[in-house]
Amino acid sequence: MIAEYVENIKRSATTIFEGMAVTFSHLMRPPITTQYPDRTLKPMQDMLPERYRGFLWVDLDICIACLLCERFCPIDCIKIEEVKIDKILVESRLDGKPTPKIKDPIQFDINLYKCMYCGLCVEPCPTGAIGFTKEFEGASTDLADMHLRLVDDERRTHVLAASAEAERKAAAAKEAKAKKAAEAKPASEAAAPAADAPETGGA
Amino acid sequence: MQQYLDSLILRWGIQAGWQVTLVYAVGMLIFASLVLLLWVAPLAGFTSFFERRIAARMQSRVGPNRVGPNGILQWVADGLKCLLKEDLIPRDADPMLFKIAPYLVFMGMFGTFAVLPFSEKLIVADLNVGLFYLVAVTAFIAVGIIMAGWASNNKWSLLGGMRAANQIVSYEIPSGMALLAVVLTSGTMSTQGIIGAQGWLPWDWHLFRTPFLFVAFFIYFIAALAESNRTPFDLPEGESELVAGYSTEYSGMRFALFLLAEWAELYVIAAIATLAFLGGWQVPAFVPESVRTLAQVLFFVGKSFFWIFVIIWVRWTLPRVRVDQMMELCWKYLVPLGFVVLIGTAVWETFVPQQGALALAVRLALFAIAVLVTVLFVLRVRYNLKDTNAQIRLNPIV
Repeated sequence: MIAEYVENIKRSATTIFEGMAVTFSHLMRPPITTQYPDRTLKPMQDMLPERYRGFLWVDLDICIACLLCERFCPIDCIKIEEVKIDKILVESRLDGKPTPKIKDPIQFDINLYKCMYCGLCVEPCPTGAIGFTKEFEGASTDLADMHLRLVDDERRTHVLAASAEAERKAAAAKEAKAKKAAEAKPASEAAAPAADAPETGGA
Repeated sequence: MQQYLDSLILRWGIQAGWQVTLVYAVGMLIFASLVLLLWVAPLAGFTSFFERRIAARMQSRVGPNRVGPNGILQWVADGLKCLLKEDLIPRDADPMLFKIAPYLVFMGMFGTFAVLPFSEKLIVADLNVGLFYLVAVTAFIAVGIIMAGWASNNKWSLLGGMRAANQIVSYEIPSGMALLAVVLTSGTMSTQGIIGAQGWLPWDWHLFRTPFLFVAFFIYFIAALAESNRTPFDLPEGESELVAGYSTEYSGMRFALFLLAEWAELYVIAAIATLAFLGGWQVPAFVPESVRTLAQVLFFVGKSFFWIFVIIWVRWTLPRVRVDQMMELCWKYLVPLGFVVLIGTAVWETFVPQQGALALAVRLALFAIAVLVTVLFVLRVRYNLKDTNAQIRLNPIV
């Protein structure tokens, strides 16, 4: 009885002693709080993890307008309109291999208010053109502010001009081909009866 | 000066004689209250900032650091905010009791400051029943808290108020007994007299005077924690079970008064511990006369703030106890120990000569034990830091 009583007092004294030592040691440790936004030690973007999912961004120079991202998006927040251009080779960001590009977007809209940052558009992209940035401060009073229009008017006219040029060239090439074919046709037609003739003649 | 004041008072149409004395008494009372208010309100405010900052650092946080240099004016912002809030009284509450309760709590806390000394000369009233007055006037807090709990007409408030009353009434006994041992030793109840019976050297303090007083200090400290509803005895306002206990229904300045009383109560506990056990304002004899008062104030407030720090530190170390554990601690441990301490002190003071070699040896031995415990403690803290390879940052500015 008395032994238990003394034991209880001893145990409380020693455990409180230990506990106080632990909390006092914590008093001397640096705080781990990040005082976002105004007192961060480094810019916020440098403190975010490597694979942080911020706003989407597209490198339009290597986008081949394959529309995979638009199709994979579960909530349809990506809208792409594309035109055909002359075939060029672009360097894929994933493996550095040259990838043929025959289409270029004239409209690439991402509605970031709808976007749920699932990353399903990033995964299928063959050239690594679409990806996450580390930007995340999107609060705004206007809904339109978060509706990304990645292709601006200048680029649009540029691409349309290139497309028209490509079309014109393609048309010219087609015409030239047709002409060539037409030129070749009479000859073949001329040759054909000749070729046929012995047959018919033979018949 | 006095003649000028006399003529002023007489000009108001007051007759000379005892009525002038009455005017002087009232004037001095008002002056003393104003001075104390100007001391208590910032003190409580600063203590709240101090507590929040220490709590934050113990939890690897930063704490308030926006208002003023390093957040030191946070308490002003909090007070102003509470002042501007609406003063709500619940529909089914008892309006009069509801309004009076915070003032009673504040009064119980504020009344103690009359006998708390700051230096040899700085004290509002050196009552010859000082310690008794301290114990008696703090009982107002219990009344105020029950009143608040009852008048709110809210089950949590009532439960909180009842628990607080239960706790305060129970723990008055061990704390009173520990203080009675001090009174036996120093032979007076006057706060200045108790400090005067001690010296400035640690082994001249009451804390190390006898083994019984050494235990009495811990009994007093634990009981005072419970009396002021501090963790680990914060059952009356345990957030997880009672929302905010007796102050659940309060808002605005009345709520702020509860908090003010709570934080000023920290200083009261620390000051009583300082004056009864830790030598109070005693300063070394070589301190020159010109800065003596200043040194005494610094010593007293410094020691008090050390114990405020310990109270805060205990709060962030120990979890809340259960009601039955709290009662068990009081009635099965502190009260019997208190009796042992009281009788032991009486026997010791009667039979052990105060200037003898035995008394000095005991004092030095107790002081040596305290130093040993401190060294052990520092070693444990160092072990805890090394064990986790923790970085060390002693700079309090974040």
